[in-house]
Amino acid sequence: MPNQFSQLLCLETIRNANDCLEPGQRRMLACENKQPPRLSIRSALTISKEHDHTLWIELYEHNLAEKIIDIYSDPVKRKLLLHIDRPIAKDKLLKRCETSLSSAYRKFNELLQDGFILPVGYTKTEKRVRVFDKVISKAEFSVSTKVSQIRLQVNLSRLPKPNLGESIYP
Amino acid sequence: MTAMETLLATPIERTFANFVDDNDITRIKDDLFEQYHMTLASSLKDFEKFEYATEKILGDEGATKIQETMDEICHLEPQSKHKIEIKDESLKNAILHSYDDILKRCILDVAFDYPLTLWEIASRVRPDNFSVSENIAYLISHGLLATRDLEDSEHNKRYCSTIDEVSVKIDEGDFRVFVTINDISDESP
Repeated sequence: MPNQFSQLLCLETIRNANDCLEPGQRRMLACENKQPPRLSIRSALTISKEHDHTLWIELYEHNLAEKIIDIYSDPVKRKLLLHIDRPIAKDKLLKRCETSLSSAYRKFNELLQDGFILPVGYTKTEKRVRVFDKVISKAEFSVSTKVSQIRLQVNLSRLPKPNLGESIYP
Repeated sequence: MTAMETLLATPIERTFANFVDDNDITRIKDDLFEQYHMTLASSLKDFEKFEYATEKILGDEGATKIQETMDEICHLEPQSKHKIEIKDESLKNAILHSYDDILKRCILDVAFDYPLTLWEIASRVRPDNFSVSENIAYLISHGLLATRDLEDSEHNKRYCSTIDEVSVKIDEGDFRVFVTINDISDESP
């Protein structure tokens, strides 16, 4: 299953742009999905590197902006995302949320399928458990009846670089 | 009655009970009914009356209790008298849910520029949509649609959106919601 959010965001393209950009510079990107035509979605975004080296992404892809607003409007999904402060095992995260386990479990899977949470490795304990991290670390958006603006920071430092030929989705 | 009073009425009613005991709330309710023939919920949309009744029953402590209640619900942004940070979780959820829902957002859009009657709102949104009234009721009950008329009858009552813009800031585990109040709902009819 395609990892929609991370594919739309073109994480690798953003990572490359981060390496190339100097502080204070901006770059506009138009990313195209390498999927069959019916799934091909072009997303336009601007990447700007602040003087403190933080990288902000401004989205012009309406569907993607709507999706992010939709995710943060859901109290359970919001709780799940806000409780991830480092790579964490699924069971531990669900317990942290202090909400109905079945609902949290379902919402977690939706976040995973939508690509807002990614599997990033395994615990170093004897029993290997998969750990997950969120893609967005900071976001700012404003919604009125007429306009939606969104800018966000991607959790680049904590997300692993995918090996060639290896699917990032489990 | 201002848009801000309408928006904050429900959370104030709920949170006020955390700071004031039941007997005092009953006395405030009785006083509001005797003096103004209004319920506590209505008085919260006409805040001076609520403040007056509270201070009459609780004395100087009344203002402190109201301030404590307000501090738990919202924070007025110092640079703008129209922008507030919403701290109350239920109000945050109601606002975000409304702006995420296409039909609710469409209703808020229709009632944005000037106040309209419920019939006018419903006919401009989608005449064939049976859930319009249900969605309008949701927006009114959560203070996202305000009216200046506090009478019980719905006859020709005009409503407008209380919020101009919602902005959200997320920083790792921190989630903050700010709203800008719609000016037109505070203008004289």
